[in-house]
Formats: sequence, structure tokens, C-alpha cells
Amino acid sequence: MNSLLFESLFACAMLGLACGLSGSFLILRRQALAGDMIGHSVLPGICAAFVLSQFNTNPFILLLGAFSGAVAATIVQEFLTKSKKIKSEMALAINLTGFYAVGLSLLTWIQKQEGIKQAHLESYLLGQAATLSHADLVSIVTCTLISIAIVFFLYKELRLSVFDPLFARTQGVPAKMYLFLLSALVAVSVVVSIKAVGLILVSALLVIPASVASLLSKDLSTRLVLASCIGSLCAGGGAYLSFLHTNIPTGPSIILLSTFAFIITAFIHKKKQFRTSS
Amino acid sequence: MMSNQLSNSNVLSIKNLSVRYQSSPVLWKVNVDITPGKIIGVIGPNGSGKSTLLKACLDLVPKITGEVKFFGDASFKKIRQKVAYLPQRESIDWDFPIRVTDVVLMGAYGRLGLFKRPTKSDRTFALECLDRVGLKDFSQRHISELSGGQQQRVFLARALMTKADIYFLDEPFSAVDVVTESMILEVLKSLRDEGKTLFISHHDLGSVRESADQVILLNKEVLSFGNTSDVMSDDNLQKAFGRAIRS
Repeated sequence: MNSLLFESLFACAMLGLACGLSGSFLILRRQALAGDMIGHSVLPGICAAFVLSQFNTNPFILLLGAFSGAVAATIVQEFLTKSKKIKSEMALAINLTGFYAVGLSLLTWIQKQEGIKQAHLESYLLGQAATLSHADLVSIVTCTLISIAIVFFLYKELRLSVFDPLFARTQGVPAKMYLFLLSALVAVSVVVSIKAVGLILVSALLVIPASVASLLSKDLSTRLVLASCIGSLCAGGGAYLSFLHTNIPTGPSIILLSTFAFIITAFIHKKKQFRTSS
Repeated sequence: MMSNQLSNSNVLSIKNLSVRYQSSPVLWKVNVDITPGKIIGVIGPNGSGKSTLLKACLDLVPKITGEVKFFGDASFKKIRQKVAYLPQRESIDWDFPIRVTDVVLMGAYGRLGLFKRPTKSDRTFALECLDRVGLKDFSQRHISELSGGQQQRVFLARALMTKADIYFLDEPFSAVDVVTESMILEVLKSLRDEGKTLFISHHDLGSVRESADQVILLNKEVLSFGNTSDVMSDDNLQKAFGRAIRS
């Protein structure tokens, strides 16, 4: 295995770990679709960063744009759901499609510009691990390690804030801040994953490994470890399959493998339930 | 200890408290003084502001006017470690992946502070609290495996874990059977006998007569406040609920 391939697979395994970790909290908060919204909202951010930086292809500038898109979508979501007349899922659907439409319009406009260096922003739609640079690997590993450290050291506070935010506040635990921190972890996981997995499918990498783990364990800490391992294996394995069969983009390959893992686990779980009840 | 020192002063003073959600007022100019060592029942029709009153005392909802003082002149922020809160069961996801003992240990988080994990003595005390509500043998169960009444008792054990002097309990008798209700009542009365103060919102008037020393009859504003038998007169209840009530 050459070092470039190893670096790409390692990067995918790490981002799978980060997504599994933050995705577990996302499904506990019953916000599985929020990952989808954040995934789609990064496209206008990337395109806007590319245009505003005068067509600079520096990956850090594009990542900053992606993160700004994710933050903007989260703020809009918060604003829309303040009104009791707009339900959370309605706001998510409007937000997701609205941001994506702006992103696609900007992307089409950029692709029609002549005389500028194209950054192949369309590769962010479905993802391609082969395009990951050494700088991408550094950002993925850094963000994953930060996510692990936050969850490890603040586990007690994060669990209480998700389980019972009102009680948390009476105990002096600032639940709103910790819930915001969890949303930020999701945004960061999405942003560092889109180049490999693609913004359309990244939410599946947040939700599927966490869902598999939720079928396997009733204990949160075990779920977090399982979701991280499953996310890591599926992302690394999916990327490797994509390298073997170059006509399959990395994103779909990773998600196909994750979905396969979910179907097998759900089948075993159902069989076990059936045996217990009979 | 705290309760004995403060036996002659108010444990809780609510002055001119008003709360509004968006444009509609939920509580209007509430004035109540509570002395220690009592069980205070808060009753009223749906939407009368019972839960909001408890939440406003604990700074969980913003007040538009008024103030809430504890132990004379202290704000909630200063004495939060002396207060326990039991939220309404509807606000909780009972499928959350957590064991009974870990829920009870959450009652120690206020004392522990950031980064610190519960100690062995915290775990021993958590088992004592579970024993007090009759659930010691359920400590390793997951909360999703418990009945509604057992879940309420786990939350009561968590409130005991805080070692508080004032307890704010939001509908602790919701979704419980008669046996569980009498078990919870027994624990609440023993806390009162230890000098603790309990502030309890009720949806069932029957349990109020049996447990409360004083009652606040609420319908956005305080309609009546005083001894249970005086407040729960047919006239008062009809005024609050809009029709004759048998409790």
C-alpha cells in the first residue's frame, strides 16, 4: 500500500470516528436531520468563500467558508423554531433546501466563469477521498482528537445536558452551552468530512454508525465507543472499496458499507427480539 | 441544620412575580412567603402557571417583574446547592441509554464541579437514596426498563442525592399507581419532618389534601394561599376551576 493511499484511508477512518461520536449525541437529541441540514448548508459557504477570496483554492479558506455556512444554517434554524407556528422539521426542510439552492446557484455561476482557476467544487457533492491533501489529513486528525477530548473530559456534563437540561441548569451546569458545543462538534465533523464523503451523504455517516451502536447497547459510553469504531471501519473500508473500484465515488461507497452494517445489525436485533418474546 | 437556623425566617419569598411567554402573561403579580419545614401544594387548572411558578423560582424562565429570594436575602444562584428540582416526566426521554444509579448520581454533579467524577462515597449515598425510595435492587437497570412510577421514584432519589433543603417537585404523582403514590408521600413527609421545605405542583387534588400543610391556589395569579383546609373550600375551587370540584 503506498503512503498516499494509506494517508487517505487513515483520514477517512478518523473522520468516521468523529462522525460516529458526534452523531451519537445527535440521534439522542432526536435531531438526525440536523446533520443533513448542516451538510447541505456548507455548499453556499464553500462557494462564497471561493468567490470572496478572489477564487483562492486554499483548502483552509474553503473549510472556513464551509464552517460559516454550517453556523449560518444553525442560527437560521434557531431563529425559525423560535416561533411556535413553525415546527422543527418544517424549519429543517426549508433551511436545508434553501441553503442548498443558493449553493447550487453559486456553483453553476462559478463553473460558467471563464479565465479563473476552477477548484472543482462539484467534487464536494459526492466526495472523493483521492483528492484529500496532507493539509486535509492534518485538519481531520486535529478535529477528531479535539472531539474525543471534549467528549472524554466533559462526558458527565454533556450526558446530563442532553438527558435533562432543566435539572442541569438548576445544578449550575450550563446546559445550553453544552448543547451548543455538541452542535459545534457536529458542524466540525461535517465540515472536515465533506471532501471525502460529500455533502449530500455526510449526514448518513453521522446517523448510521450511531444507529447501529444504539441497536447493540443500552449504555451511552458503550454506544459512543461502538459508534466511533463502526464509523471508522465503514469510512476506512468504504474508501478502500472506492480505491479498488474507481468508478464508485468515496461517499456512496462509505454509505453503502454503513447501510449494509445497519441492515445486518437490525436483522440480528429483530431475530433476538423475536426469540426473547416467544 | 440550615432549616433549624432559619426556623423563624422565610425560606422562600416571592415578591410581585410576573412571567410572560411571548405576548401572553402566564403569572401575574405573585406574592408568597414560605416558612421552613412545610409541604406547600401548588394547585390550579391546566395552564394556570403551576410549573411556570416553580421554574421562575429556579431561574429556568425569565421574569418580567418581581424577585425570588431564598433564606432571607439570597438569590437562587447563590444557594443553588441547597435546592433540588424534579421536572415533569413529559420533559424526559425515558429511552435514554442510562442506568438507574447514573441518573441518581446526577444529583451530586452540582457539588462535584467540572471534570470531577462521582466518588465511591457518592455511589454509596446514591444506593442509600435508592433504598429510601424502595429501588435499591434496580440500581443497575436501564431507566427504559422501569414503570412510570419507578421512574418517578428514581427522580425522587436523584432529588434526595442533592442533599437539598428546599425541594421543587413538578407533578411527582403523575403516571403513578396508588402504591407508588403512598410510597412517594411517605418519603416527602419524612423530608418535611427532617425540617426540609417542599414545593409541589399537583394535577390531582386528592393527593394535595393528604400531603400539603399549605396550598397555593393559582390561576395565573394567586387566588388563595394558606392552610390546606381553608384554601381547598368548595367556593375557592369553583372560582379556580370554573365548576364544582370534588377532591
